Amino acid sequence: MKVVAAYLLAVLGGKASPSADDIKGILGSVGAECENDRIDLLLSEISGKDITELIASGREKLASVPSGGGGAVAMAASAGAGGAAAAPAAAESKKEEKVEEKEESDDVSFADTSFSFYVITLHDCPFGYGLQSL
Amino acid sequence: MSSIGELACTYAALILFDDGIAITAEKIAQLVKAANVPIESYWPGLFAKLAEKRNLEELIMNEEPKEESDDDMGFSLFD
Repeated sequence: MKVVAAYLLAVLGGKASPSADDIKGILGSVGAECENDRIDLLLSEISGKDITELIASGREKLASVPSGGGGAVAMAASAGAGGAAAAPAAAESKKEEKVEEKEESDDVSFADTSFSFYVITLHDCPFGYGLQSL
Repeated sequence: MSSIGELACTYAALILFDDGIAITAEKIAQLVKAANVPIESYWPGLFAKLAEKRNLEELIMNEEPKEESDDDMGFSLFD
């Protein structure tokens, strides 16, 4: 999950296409560990795609997922973005596999969907609402 | 929706949360600085305070449509 967050953070910082080094730099600044595989996988999934598009398309798909599953999908999506594309997701938990089976979209678009779901979750994270209650 | 500063701090908080690192204002500021994002100076403090008050995991997992309840804003994804 943090890899995507670091990526998006780099994009906010003005880099249209963050590199693996950018992501490592960001994660490293607070001592967060980063797995090169994850970073490379994310970058290869994203390359050539417009992040705004991904978010928009993910938003539509998210709307069609029942809300109960939404949370689980979002969390699994973070693992899913790493695991789904590299099919044998041995390192990830079984929970992710169960959600993958429930998911109806085909495998080809699952990685897109997962990432989009995940990005939506980040963007719609209701921090704004939380802040109002401070 | 969210301002850049808010978004940046959100991402920073998520990164810290993911690695179980304490979500403090300094760390958030460090992350945002490493990413070269200009933010207003009050954001990291606000987010650190929020992280103290609210369980981030709940915030992430609970995206239910807003119910017609009167309490405390609720956490709604769809307005």
